Amino acid sequence: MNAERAIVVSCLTVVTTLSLSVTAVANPLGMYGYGSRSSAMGGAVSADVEDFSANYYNPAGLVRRPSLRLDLGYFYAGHALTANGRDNRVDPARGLIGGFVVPGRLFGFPFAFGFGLHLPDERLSRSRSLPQSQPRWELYDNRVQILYLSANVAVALLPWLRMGAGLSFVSSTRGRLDIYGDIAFPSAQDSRLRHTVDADLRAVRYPQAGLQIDLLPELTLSLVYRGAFRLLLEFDAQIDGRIVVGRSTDPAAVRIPGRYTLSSRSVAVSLPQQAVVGIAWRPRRNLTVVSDLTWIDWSAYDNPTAYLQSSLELEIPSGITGFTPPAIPPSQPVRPAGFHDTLVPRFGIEWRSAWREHTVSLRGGYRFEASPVPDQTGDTNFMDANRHVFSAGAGFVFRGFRPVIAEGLSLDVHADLQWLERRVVIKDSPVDPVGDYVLGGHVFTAGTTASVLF
Amino acid sequence: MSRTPPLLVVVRLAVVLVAMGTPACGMGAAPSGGDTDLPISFVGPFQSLNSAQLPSGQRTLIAADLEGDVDEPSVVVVNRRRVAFMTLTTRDAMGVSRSVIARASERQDRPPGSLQFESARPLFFPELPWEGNAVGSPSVVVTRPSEWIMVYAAGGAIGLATSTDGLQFVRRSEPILTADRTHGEGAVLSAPSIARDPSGRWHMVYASDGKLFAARAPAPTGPWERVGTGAILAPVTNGNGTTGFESRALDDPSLTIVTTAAGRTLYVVFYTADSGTTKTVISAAASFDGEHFTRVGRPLYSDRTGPVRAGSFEQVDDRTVLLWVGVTSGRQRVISAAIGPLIPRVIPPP
Repeated sequence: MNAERAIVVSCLTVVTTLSLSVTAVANPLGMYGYGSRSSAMGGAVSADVEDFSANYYNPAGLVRRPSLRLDLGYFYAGHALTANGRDNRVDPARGLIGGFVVPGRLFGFPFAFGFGLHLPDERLSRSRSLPQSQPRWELYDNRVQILYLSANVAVALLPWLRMGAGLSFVSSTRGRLDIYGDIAFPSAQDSRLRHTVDADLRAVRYPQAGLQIDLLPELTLSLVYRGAFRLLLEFDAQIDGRIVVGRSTDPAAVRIPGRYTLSSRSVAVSLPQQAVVGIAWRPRRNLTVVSDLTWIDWSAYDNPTAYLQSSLELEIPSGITGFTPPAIPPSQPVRPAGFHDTLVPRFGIEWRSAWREHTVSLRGGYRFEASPVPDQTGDTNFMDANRHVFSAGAGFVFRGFRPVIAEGLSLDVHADLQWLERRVVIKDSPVDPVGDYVLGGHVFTAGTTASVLF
Repeated sequence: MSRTPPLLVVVRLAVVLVAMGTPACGMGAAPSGGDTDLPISFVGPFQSLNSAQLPSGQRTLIAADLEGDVDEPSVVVVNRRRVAFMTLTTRDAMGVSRSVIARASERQDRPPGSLQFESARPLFFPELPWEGNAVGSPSVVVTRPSEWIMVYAAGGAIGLATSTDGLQFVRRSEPILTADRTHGEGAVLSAPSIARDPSGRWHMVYASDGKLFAARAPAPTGPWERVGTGAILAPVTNGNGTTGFESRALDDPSLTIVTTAAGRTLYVVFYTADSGTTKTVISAAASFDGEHFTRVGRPLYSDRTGPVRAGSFEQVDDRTVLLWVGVTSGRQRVISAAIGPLIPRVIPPP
């Protein structure tokens, strides 16, 4: 191996990655999985992935793919999350998934470019700012309702060493609403108001990178890093006008000039950084056993509550007495979320069998996610509980389409069940506005992925 | 055949894919969910029933049959119909007032839960020597349809009456609790409210000298044992020394004992808070042991027309409660109700 060429290729990889101006990203994938094969194996595939889901699980896996691959699928996740035995009707998450892997050679080294997509079919993105004390299924709310696009490159510097990296962009929102004119009192319908809206989407980027190391022909070790990002939601509003006591068309009506401003700052979506170490063991030609351990930096998670500031200025005309402007409540401090880091173990298995010229695969997986949410004894109410996730799936590779499609067509299906342990939340204060509550429930996910293997 | 087709084809595929998917994503989006039936406690705030929730759109639910004022309601639900007990005050031609305990039930010719009541009619008058010339402030618990238990205020003490039908009450000849100055009480005990906890023990809160006290007993007949070393709640000023909404006196306690979702027993006391102005407000405090109470610290309900007095608390279902109150309507005191907590839920109109 020529070391200089290796360095050049590595630099080119990074430069290419940084130059990709792909918009969007956030992460429903960690919650529901990405791609039917990977999901069926509990997501424990960082050391054994080569389809489009490598864009999320480990970009290094892209370069394992010997030929072009196109994937397209759909997934649905339905929630039955309950508080005090009542279903809180958390929105389902569903949408198209897909992507491609394009392998080739660059400066003589095996090289691949990958693109991954998760496209919700109800909304492109959701941002909500809720009062600090309002109960919410924090990990199933905004975070799973977001468009995901990812582009990565990978290179095999040595036959036993693959590395990949990608850089993704998310858009934070900044908006401004101005309302001006006359507000008629008490006949509001006589008001004459005009407004302007100004909104910006601003890019936020975060990196991801991974390694796959073949320790033995049948044993692969993987390392993955996924960067953190914060999706900000900033909103300013201003009402600038006059309160008209009487009809706004009456020139003799009393007019009180005033201005009300509101500023809201919140973190709509926050994705903590993650590090993964994984292993894939192939004890037999038709059997693969995989395992991942993921560290998630939940302690850096931001409280999504909006920090509000508002002010009211009224210029009371001389001669008007007995009028007291309403008091503006003081801003409430946003408490730290107080989440703690977690280690997520994942396990998966795949068994393959030839049938004529085709291949049939059966898969299973399990992962356990301890809740990062601490006991909610105070005035925050992030609802979450420990999750056990059981998954299963099957895959079929149909061959016989040569020479148009060299390797065939594949169809993978999967389903998983997230079971949330019962969690009792006990409040310190007897006058807590929410009070004690009991959480539980389950989430059912199913999906399919169709692929063209050139 | 080449193993890698031209990159251009792939890029075009991706563009088409995104172009087809993106418009579909922005159309027909459903409203955000996840906010249905969230847990909430019952410590307010409350709001007046709206016109759609009130019979005939009138907020007066119970008024005196004749000229007079009704106040301090205690409402129980038996066989799905509400029965209200209250203080009825009348004045004679000389202007001398007379207080008795009155009763009003939901009309039999309307469906249960209609909130349409008959007029309040006197149930019993002061008769026993210790009762003096007034009885009032009833608090009623129905342990089973044939066992109605009422505590009431009279002659500066608290009495007990029982009934098998809610119509004919038999009074105990002696009060079950009299004032004890060594406990910090004034000369007069008033506005008792009783409730039974899940273990079967009885609890009572009452007012004296502008403060609230508590007692408990194995049975309504006693013996009643006072809780703690003094008042469980007393007037307070704001932390900065300014006058607050409960700075002058507390009165009309209404005790409710609930079991939280976690299985803990929670004692909630709603009360009338007086700051010395012409208006009063209702606030609350709660405790896990029935002795050490924590205040909500803010008004939970007020009435724009005048002073409001706290009555009993009724749990309509696990998401809705009614707080029965005495309010002013014109020149009369009448009985109305406030609904809480403030969640987007309504009681179906009758």
